[in-house]
Amino acid sequence: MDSIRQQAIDYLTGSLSSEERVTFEYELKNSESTRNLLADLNDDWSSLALLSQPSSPDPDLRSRTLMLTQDPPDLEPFLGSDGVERLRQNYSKPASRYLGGDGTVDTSEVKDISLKDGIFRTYEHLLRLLPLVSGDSPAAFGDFSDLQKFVYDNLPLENELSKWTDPLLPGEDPVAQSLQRSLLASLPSLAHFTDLAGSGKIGLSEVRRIFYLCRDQLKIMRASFQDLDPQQLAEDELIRVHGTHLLRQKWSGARHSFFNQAGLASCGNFFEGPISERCVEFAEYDSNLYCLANLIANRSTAGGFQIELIKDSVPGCVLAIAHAEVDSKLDEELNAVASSNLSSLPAVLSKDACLWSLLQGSMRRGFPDHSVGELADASFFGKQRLEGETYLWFAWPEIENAHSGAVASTEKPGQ
Amino acid sequence: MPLIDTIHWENIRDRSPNSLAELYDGFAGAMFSLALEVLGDRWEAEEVIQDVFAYVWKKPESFSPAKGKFSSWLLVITRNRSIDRVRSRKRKVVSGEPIEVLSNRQDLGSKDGAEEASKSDERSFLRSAFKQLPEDQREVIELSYFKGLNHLEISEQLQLSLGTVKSRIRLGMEKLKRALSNLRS
Repeated sequence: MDSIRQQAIDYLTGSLSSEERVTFEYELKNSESTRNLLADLNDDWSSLALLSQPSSPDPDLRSRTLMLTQDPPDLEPFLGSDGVERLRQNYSKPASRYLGGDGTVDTSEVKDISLKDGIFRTYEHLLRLLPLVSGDSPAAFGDFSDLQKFVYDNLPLENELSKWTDPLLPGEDPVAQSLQRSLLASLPSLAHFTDLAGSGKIGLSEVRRIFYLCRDQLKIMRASFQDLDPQQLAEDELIRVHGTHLLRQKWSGARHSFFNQAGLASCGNFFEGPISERCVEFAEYDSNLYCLANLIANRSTAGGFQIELIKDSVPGCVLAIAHAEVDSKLDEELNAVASSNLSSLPAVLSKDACLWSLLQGSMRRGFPDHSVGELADASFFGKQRLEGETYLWFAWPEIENAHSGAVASTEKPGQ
Repeated sequence: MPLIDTIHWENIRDRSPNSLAELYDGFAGAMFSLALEVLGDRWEAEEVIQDVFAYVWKKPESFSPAKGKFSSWLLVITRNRSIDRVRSRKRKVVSGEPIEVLSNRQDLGSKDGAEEASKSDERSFLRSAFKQLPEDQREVIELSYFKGLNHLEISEQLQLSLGTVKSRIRLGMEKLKRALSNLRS
């Protein structure tokens, strides 16, 4: 019995070799007394958890966790719509996945010197901000003083952002696209929350949100400007499979803001599995999701919007969808934005037009065998309204069999 | 240990209203404290908690009462997922560095909850019993449980024989078991 007891302890502590483990598991299967012994030891072993320093999770985690029990929205009207049917008939996978690179430019191509300086200044600023909001920072444990001092001592991001984005017109050339992706995807929400930190209106959930946004913004900037942080960009280009759980953790219950118009995200139907193969591809995907969120969050009637990731409804592809109940007048705005008819677009919608243009550029990179017009006609991306609900979406090639390689987890940026 | 019992699992399995909320309110604090202790990172600890609750909600059949107490099972998967993340960071304890496994951090963001949790009789009793263990037994148990090192890794880390590591863990666990049995009886 002593020998079995020792084996059970070794099993619990992960100290058996693979052969010994198989033998022990055979024993477990066939011996009730061994099962009882292990259950008993398991209880003792688990009681060691009580040695942990007592901590309480942020109340925000409770609401995010309990969202799991909510029934996801019924997407049948959307998935059965003409637009998705057109995609079903026309979808074809690209010959190869997006590997990064196509959407990147050198900062020397940015002619405006102050803007070029601003890119470097913002990137360095965010590199210094990141450790102040990471999960082991004082701010993550309720001491916001270092974070507040940093924000107070530095120029508010919202000021910088307004300076560069007013006015901003959609542009198809790679420099304009890289700039706009860096300025309009995750930066507006990040600027909003960091400025809240500077004014003292902050809690743990805002610090957490800043962490995720800062991490994404750094990655998007690196992918947009290849000379910004070449060493880290090389890391981002390695194979590292990213699962949908990373998007759920980030978006479930997340407060979001686009130039002071706030919204609350929730995750509806989310398949489990890989969604991108490299950090650069994930940055591309992230940027597209931010574009959809920025467009819909501002216009949601109730302030909330849903993000959905659907696989298998259209064979070979994953559909990313952002939707919300939207007033018909605001829905008309989105029609104008999606029509890309710039001459008829009021100036107030220029940023929204840039977001749509970013999505178009990304689709061209994701599906290089097609023109943007072809992709739009075949509903690879689009906008439609069904029963008072506005849907924005884009398709992305599914990952059938993930390559061997590292698996991204919480992915602290810069690591 | 908080009062989480098989009935909570049955309620989740049967999709009873509020069953996940009841489990969360009764046990998320203990799970979160453990994940945070292992990971030392609040956001990662929150992600582990969300992952575990999602797993329990989607696959309640993964547990069965034959495996022991529901609370123990929840702590096992919380610890395993936390240790997996630590291992994926590929950080190794450098030999010769002072080993401080259990944290002394202050959680200002959740002070009330932490004080509430620390009132637990069983928690304070276990901490007291743990402190009374010989230091060499405490050390190997902490490295095993909170750092997820296996016996071989601990023996290399502390430059001890494998047999010594095994016996220290076994002896330490037996003493803690006796102490807890006295409390529970």
